Amino acid sequence: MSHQPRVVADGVSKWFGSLVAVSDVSFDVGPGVTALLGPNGAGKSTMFRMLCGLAKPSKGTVRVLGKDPRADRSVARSIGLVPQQESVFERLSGREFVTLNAKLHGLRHPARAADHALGVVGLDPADPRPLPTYSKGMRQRVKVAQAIVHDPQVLVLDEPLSGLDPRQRVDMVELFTRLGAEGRCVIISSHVLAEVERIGSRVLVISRGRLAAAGDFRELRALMDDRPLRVRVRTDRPRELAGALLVRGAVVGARLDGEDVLELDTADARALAHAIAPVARERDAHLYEVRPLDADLEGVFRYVVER
Amino acid sequence: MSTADATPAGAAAPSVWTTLPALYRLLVRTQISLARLLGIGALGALVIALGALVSQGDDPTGAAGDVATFALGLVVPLATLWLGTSALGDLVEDRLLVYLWLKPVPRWQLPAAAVAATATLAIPLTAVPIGVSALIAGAGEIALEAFLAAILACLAYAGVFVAAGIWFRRAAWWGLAFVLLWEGAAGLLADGFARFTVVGWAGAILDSAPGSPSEVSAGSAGAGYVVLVAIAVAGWLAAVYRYKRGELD
Amino acid sequence: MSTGDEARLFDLGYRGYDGARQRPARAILTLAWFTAMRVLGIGRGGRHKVLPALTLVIAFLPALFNVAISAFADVVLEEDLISYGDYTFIIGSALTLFAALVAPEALCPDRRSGMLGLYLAGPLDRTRYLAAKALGVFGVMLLITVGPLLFMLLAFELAGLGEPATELPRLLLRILVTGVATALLYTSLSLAVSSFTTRRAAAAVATVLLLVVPVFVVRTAIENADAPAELDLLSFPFVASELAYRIFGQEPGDTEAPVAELSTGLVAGGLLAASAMALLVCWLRYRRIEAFR
Repeated sequence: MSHQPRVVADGVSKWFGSLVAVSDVSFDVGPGVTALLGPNGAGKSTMFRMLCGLAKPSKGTVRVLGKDPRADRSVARSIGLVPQQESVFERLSGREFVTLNAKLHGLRHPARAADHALGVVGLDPADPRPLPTYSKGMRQRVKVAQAIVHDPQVLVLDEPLSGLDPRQRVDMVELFTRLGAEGRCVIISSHVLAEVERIGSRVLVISRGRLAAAGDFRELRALMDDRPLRVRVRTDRPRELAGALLVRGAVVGARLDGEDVLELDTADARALAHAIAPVARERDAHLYEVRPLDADLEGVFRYVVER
Repeated sequence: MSTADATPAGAAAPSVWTTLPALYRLLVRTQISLARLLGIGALGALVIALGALVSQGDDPTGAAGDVATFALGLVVPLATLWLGTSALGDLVEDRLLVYLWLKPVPRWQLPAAAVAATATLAIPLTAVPIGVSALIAGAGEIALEAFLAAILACLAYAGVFVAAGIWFRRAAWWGLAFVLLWEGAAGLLADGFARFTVVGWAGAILDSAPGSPSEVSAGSAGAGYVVLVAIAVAGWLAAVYRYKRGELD
Repeated sequence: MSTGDEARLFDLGYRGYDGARQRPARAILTLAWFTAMRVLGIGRGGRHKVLPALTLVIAFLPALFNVAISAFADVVLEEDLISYGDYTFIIGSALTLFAALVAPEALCPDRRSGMLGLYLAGPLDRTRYLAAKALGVFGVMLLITVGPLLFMLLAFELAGLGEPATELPRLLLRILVTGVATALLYTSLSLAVSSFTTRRAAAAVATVLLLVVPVFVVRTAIENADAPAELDLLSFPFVASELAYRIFGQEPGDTEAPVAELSTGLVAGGLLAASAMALLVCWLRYRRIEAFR
C-alpha cells in the first residue's frame, strides 16, 4: 500500500422526509478492522451506503481515501462492498459474476482474478451452476469474492457472516483479519458479536442514528464507570473470600451462586485484580476460575445502546 | 490476494471496449428468458400469420398496411416495453444495481447498454416478422418501409422504456398506460397529436411506401427517421440522468 | 415462582389459544379484504395509491363528463350524453389497464416473496387461497364497472334527469348485471395470466396482450379468410361491451362488428365460458406451483 487508507465521516446526517436515519456522525477510520455495530434500524446500512457513495448525505461529508465517493467515480476502484441483500443475478454462475466485476474494474486478467478470489473464499471456480442454486452460505461467499477480486484498499462488509456455518465463519473471520493486518481499511457490521470480537477490537456503535461510542471496546468498558464490572470467581472458600474483598473495598457487591461460585461487582477492575490473589492466599482459598462476565463486546454493546 | 492483477489507484478508467460489451452481454442475458422469447416470438409469428391471412383477401396491400399499422401500434411497443422496462427495472427491483454502480465505469454506459440490449432483442422478434408479413401478404412494395419503421420504432421505444424502468417503480404499468392511452390516442385525436407519439412517426415512415398504407402519420418519412432516433437518445439521456443522481439500496 | 399474600409473579411467556376459532370462510373473507386494500394502496404509502387512483379517475371521467354537461348545459339532449350501454365500451382501455394493475399485484408478490407458503400453512388451502384472491380482485374491479354507472345514476336522479321511479329497480339491476359480468371477465382473464409468472410487469404486459391482440387477429381472420363470426367471442373487451349494449337494450356503436351479429345467449355464454375457462386455468396452475422458495 502506497499510503494508509482512511475513511472519514464529518458531521454526517441523513434524513428521509421527517425520518432521521443518521444524525451528526463523525469518525475517522484507518487501516485495520473496525466494527460498525448497532441494533436493527440504528442507521448502519444507511451509513454504509453513504460510505460507498450509494446515497448522498443530507448534511456533512464523507471522504474515502480523501475523495468524495459519490462525486469521484475513481474511488470505486478502491472500495469493495458486500451488500446486505441476498438477491443475485439469476443467469450467472459464481465465476461469471465475479469475472464480470473484475472486468468492470478494468483488471488485466479478469478470469484469473475471479478464480483466485473464489479460491480465497473457498468456492470452486469450475462450478457451472447458476447463482440461484447456491446455498445461502455460498452466495454470501460469492459476494465476498466479488468484493475482493480487485484488491481494494477499503472493504465495507454489511453482515458478511450471515448464512455461514460455524466453520465458514471461522474461515471468513481469518480472511477479514488478514485483510485488515495487510493494511486495508475494513469496516464490518455483524450481529454475531463473538465473531466480530475475534476480528478486532475497534468499534463504532450507532444507536438511533447517532454515534454512541467509538474506540477499542476494552477501553470503552473501562469508561463505563456507572456500571460495575461483574466478575465470576470459583473458589473453595467463597464466603471468606467475598467478605475479605468487601472489607478491603475491592468489590462493591457479592453474590453466592451455588456452593463454590461468587459473582463480584467491582468499580475498579484493576484494584480487584491486585487484591484477589493476596486475599485468597490470606484466607487459604483456592481460586479455580476468575472471569469477567460483561467485559466482552456484547456487554459493551448492550450498555451503549440501552443507555 | 491477487495483487498482480490489481488496478493501482489513480490508474486510467477501464476501457469502454471492455466494460460496455460486458454490460451489454449481462443485460441481454438477464432479459432473455424462455417466457419472453416464446411470448414475443409468438407475437411475431402472429404478425406473419396475419400476413398470410390477408393475402387471401380482396385488398392484400391495404390489409397488409393495416397489419403493419397494428404491429407498429401494439406489437412493437408491447414487446419493447416488456424488455425495456425490465432491463434496468429488474435490477432496481432486485437491488442488484449496486454491483454495477460501485464500479469506475462512466454512468452513461449502463443505460446505453440497456437500450442496445433491448433493441437487439426486440428488433429480430418484431421488425423482421413485420417485414416478412408484408412479403407474405403479397405487399412487397411496403415491406422495406414497414421493416425500417419497425426498427426505428423499436429503438425509440427502447429508449423510452429503459428510462421508465429506472424512473418509475411500476414502469411496466406506466408503459402500458403510455401505449394504450397516449400512443393509442394518436389514431383517434387530431392529426397534429400524432407528432407527439412514436407510432405517429413510425407511421410516417411506413406511409412513405407506395399507396400510403399507414392510417397514422405524423409528417415526412425523413423527419420520422430523425425524430425516432432523437427519442431514443432522449430516453437514454433521461436514464443516465436518473442513474447518476439516484440513490441505491 | 414465589407467591405471598400480596405479591404475585405472572407468567408472561407463550400461551396457546383456547378460544373459539372461526370457519375457513372467515379466512377467505379476511384475505379478500386485505387483497383489495393492498391493490388499492390503502394502508400503504402515498405512492402505492397513485396508479389505482389514476385508473379510477380515468374510468370515472366519462361519468363526470355526463354529470358536468347535465349540471351546466341549458338544454341537454340524450345524444349529448354517454349512455349506460356505451360506458363499458368507452372505458375499455381503463378496464384493461386496471386489470393489468390489480391481478398481478394480488397474485405475483405472494409467490415471489414466499408469502404463499405462509398462507398455505394455515387454514387456507390452494382453492380457498385463490377464491380469496379472486374475490378481492373482483371486488376492486366492481369499483370501475359498477361505480361510474351508479355515480351517473345518482347524479341524474339528483338533477331530475333520471328514469321514472318505477324504472329504477330495473335500471339498477341492469347496472349490476353489466358490472358483475364485465368484472368477472376481466378478473378471471387477468388472474389466469398472473398465475404464470412471479413478475408483476410480465403479468401486466401479458394481460394487455391477451385482451387486445385477439381482437385484431380474429377480426382480420373473419374479414379476410371468411372465418366464422363466432370467433369474435375471443375479442373479450368487445364481448363485454356488446353484452352491456344488449342488457341496456341499445344498438352498439359498430353494428358491423362480428360480435354484433351473434345472439345474446351466445354472447353471454361466451363471456361466462371464457371466465370459467380462465379461472380453471388459474386453479390448475396453482395446484402445481411449489409454495416454498
